[in-house]
Amino acid sequence: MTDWLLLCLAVSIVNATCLRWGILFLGEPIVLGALLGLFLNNFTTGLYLGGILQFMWLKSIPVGVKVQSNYTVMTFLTIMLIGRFGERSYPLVFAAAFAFSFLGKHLETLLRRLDNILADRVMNNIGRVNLGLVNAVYLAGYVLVFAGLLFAGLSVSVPLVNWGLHWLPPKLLDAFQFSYPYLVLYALSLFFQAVSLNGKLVYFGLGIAAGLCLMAFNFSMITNINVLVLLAAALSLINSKLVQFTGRKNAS
Amino acid sequence: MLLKVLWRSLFINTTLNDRNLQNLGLVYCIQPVLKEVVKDARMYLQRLTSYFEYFYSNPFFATAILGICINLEKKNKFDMISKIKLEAMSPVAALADSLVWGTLKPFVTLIFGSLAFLYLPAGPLGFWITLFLVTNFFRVYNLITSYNMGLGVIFHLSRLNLQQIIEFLKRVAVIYFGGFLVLYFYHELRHIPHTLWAYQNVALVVYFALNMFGLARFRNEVSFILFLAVFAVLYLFKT
Repeated sequence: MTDWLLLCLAVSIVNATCLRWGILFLGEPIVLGALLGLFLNNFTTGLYLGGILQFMWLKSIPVGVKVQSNYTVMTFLTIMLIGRFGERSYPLVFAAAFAFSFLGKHLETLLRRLDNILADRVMNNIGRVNLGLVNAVYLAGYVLVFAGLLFAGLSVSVPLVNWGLHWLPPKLLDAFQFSYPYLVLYALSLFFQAVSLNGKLVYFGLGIAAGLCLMAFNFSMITNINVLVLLAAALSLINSKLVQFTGRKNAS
Repeated sequence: MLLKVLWRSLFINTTLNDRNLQNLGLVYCIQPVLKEVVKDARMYLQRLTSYFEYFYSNPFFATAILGICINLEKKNKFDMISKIKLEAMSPVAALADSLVWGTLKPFVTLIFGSLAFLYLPAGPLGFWITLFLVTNFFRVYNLITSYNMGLGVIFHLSRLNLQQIIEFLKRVAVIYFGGFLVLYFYHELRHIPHTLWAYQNVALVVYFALNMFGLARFRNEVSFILFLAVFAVLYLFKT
């Protein structure tokens, strides 16, 4: 229990660095996933799920008044629960984690409303208020509130997932286990949703052609990836130069 | 003083509220400058209160506007600050959001996320180091440049051709994405027994086509349910 509380507190501090303090990218799913994987002695699961969740929340960006679902909460719950119940439990875990990340969103909205009151009070007493202290106290409160949410998430999700695993037919659980390695494809297909492909399908085709060419050389995957990055940069650069050249020609 | 402002700029989002957004953060950042520049206590409070109006910009590029404010405060041209701040924050935020959230983050996610799928620790490490260094470089560079240049920084930023960099990175990402898909299929999925391939190919093609082109507006949760439906139902049907 104490371990859980301390862990929730640590992850909540990381969560505060996502938006409220500095935007340091420590709470991004891929980073937090790897850290939690190391903590749980299950680095590969942490890496894999962190990567999946990173793509999943690619569209979640802190812009203006828009409040997004909390991906740090989702990453924490997903990795802790899949580490405990195994790969076949992942749809149940995702459902529970989605629910708590949504709760995190509402908590953030509530805190912003409270911030309105705080802003008014500070403005009325600006001569007497120590803004540094206000920020420190606010951050401490924020960390405690989210630590509570994370702890509640773990405490509620563990029995729920356990119950779900007993209740679901074994054949369906086998099907979940079967589809687990293909989550990569789910994640990659989300990239299309996050990055607009308008007018870029030709480049996508170029990439497929480059991939097919590299396949023929039968290099290792790491070598292939390095070559692919260089090739993509070179092709893009050539394209820029061509566009500049044709643009100048048309203008003249 | 600039170091103090830079440190305080990390707190610009701390008291983010949905009425005036980053106004309290901006006041906190500008406080040490005003303390140094304005000696009269009453004038100091008046100047500080003027920063309470609505303010919102990209947290990494807000330092550019902060730098302009500091420059103008030091030159005692404080009557211009409010107007310039309000006029500059939206274009700067639009450019910065497009660069950082719309291009840099998806690009870095694709490159280093794909390494994470291959279970390489370089994935999360490279992701964090790249984003941390680049975004904080912007934070520092914008503050120093705008402090030195004053209003000239807006012209300077527009001359950096950030739009071209954005387009370049997007093209690299899409080419890499196409190549990585082919290589991932070839390297990682070829160990699957031959008999399973027929079912999986159907599942993959159906899922990809639906998710990429048909359901691009869907939420993550719906896409996930679709994923489960395609794979799990095909598996159950097969067995």
